[in-house]
Amino acid sequence: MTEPAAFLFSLAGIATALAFVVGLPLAWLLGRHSFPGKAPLQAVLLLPLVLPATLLGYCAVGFAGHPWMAAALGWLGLAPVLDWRMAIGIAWAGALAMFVRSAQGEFARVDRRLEAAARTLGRSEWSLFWAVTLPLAWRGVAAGVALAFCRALGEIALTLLVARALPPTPALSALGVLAVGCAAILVLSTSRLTRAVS
Amino acid sequence: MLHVELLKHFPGFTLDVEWSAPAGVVALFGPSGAGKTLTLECLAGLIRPDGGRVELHGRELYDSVRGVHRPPRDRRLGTVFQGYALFPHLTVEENLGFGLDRMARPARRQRVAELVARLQLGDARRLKPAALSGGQQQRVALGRALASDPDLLLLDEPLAALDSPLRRSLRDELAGMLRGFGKTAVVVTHDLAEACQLADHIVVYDRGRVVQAGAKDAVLSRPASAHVAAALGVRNVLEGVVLNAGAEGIQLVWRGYLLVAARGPSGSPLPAPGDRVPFFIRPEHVRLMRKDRYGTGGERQTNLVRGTLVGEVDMGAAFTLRFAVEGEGEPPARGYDLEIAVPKLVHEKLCLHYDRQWTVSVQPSAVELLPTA
Repeated sequence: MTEPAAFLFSLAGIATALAFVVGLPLAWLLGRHSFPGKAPLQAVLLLPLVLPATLLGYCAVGFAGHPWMAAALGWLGLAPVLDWRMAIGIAWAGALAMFVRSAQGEFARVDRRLEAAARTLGRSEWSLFWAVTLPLAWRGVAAGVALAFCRALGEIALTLLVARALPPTPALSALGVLAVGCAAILVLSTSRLTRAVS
Repeated sequence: MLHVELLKHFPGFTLDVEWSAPAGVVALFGPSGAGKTLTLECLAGLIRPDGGRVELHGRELYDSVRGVHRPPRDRRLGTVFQGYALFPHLTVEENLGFGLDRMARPARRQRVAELVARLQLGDARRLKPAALSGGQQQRVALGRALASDPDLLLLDEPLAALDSPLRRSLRDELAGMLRGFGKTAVVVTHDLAEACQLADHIVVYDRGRVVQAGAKDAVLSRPASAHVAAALGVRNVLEGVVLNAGAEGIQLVWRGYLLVAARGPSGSPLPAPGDRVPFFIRPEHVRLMRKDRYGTGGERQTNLVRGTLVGEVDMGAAFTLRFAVEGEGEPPARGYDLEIAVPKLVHEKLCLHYDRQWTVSVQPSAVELLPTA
């Protein structure tokens, strides 16, 4: 593997991990409960799936380049250019959308009577999540992680290309390999793991 | 002693019930949608009622006035859900021990081993629920509910998911286990046979209300109204006009026939002459008069009614005959007045396939008057 590819992988890994940490409670909340503002929240979460990564990359650069934003970033000690942290941020949004979409459906499918049974058996909500809900929804969660990682990889590669943060030639070749790999993983994971996303 | 007062509003449905039961098995009986399962969920603490009080052996589980609402885990109860709700990802042993997580590990292991032995699940103890038979699943569900030695056991349609032959044998098994439990158990059922076999005490539900509650025999033999009789699935609920009523019996006119009832409705004053009263005759208490014997000593027979068999239902070991009375007035819209239960053997012996004209007789003690609701 080339060095830029390892770089891409590690960035995508970080974005996926962050998406998992934020996405797990979010997916549970969206899959198991209804509350005011649920629909808008879901729409915002899905936005990165609708907008192409390239556009997000441009947006980020444009956004970061705005004088006010540049000042704000400068105050935080960040340069007003698209660096790897922002690339992770963009990838995280896409990965989160993927993860939540997959895991939420599986959480919604968990039989509520099983949770009720756990409650009558003396378990707290926290305890029954780890003992019942999560083990029963693990397929959707695992599929979500796989999809999120693929998405993050694609987003990061494209964002960095757009921002010319990587020299184009080796990155491009790495991307070709990765795109094929991603497609394969995606197909496998959707057929194996996602009886969820229907 | 279990005392229950519950009020819960939903759009289009209100649960408003109050009943008490001594220790033993209580059946909540009634048609689907009567609020039985909702009552159970309120008892379990899974749903918070809008008002009322739940008290178990002097311990308050819920009181709307004093703001008490114990969460399920503080109620000391075991629940057997409809369809059992066993955890599909856990083995039999893990299911049984699920509610014992606050126990020390060795004690927990010992308790699970005890349950496995008592429920005869030794061979199945490492299997997941999907690999178990219906009977084993029932035992695991019961064992899981009983594991923490609860004060109250709740069972929601415990046999509803099973097919008929298995259902009967598991009913026997369940009845035995409930007798062995020795504390209070509440069983929700819409099956009268199940209620009869399992319970000592029956609470009859209809449309979110209790229409009768009491000891099993009292409820079954003396429904509180024509409405309860209908809810209990009592057949041959009829209506007659009282001719006169006295200590020696009540005479009433039905479809132009004089019927004598041995006693008045339970817990109600004797009806006055001219009153319309509902009454019922159990299908197994209607006797077909054999033609070779009838006529010789006929005057000794009371409550004789003539009519025609207009249909029958083969119930396997017995037949339910449909009998249209020849008399004043019209039979009900269904086309017959009485259902008569006869064993298959009798059906063959009396050649009921060919011989359709009959006179039937009913003992005065079998004409059971209902209070006018």
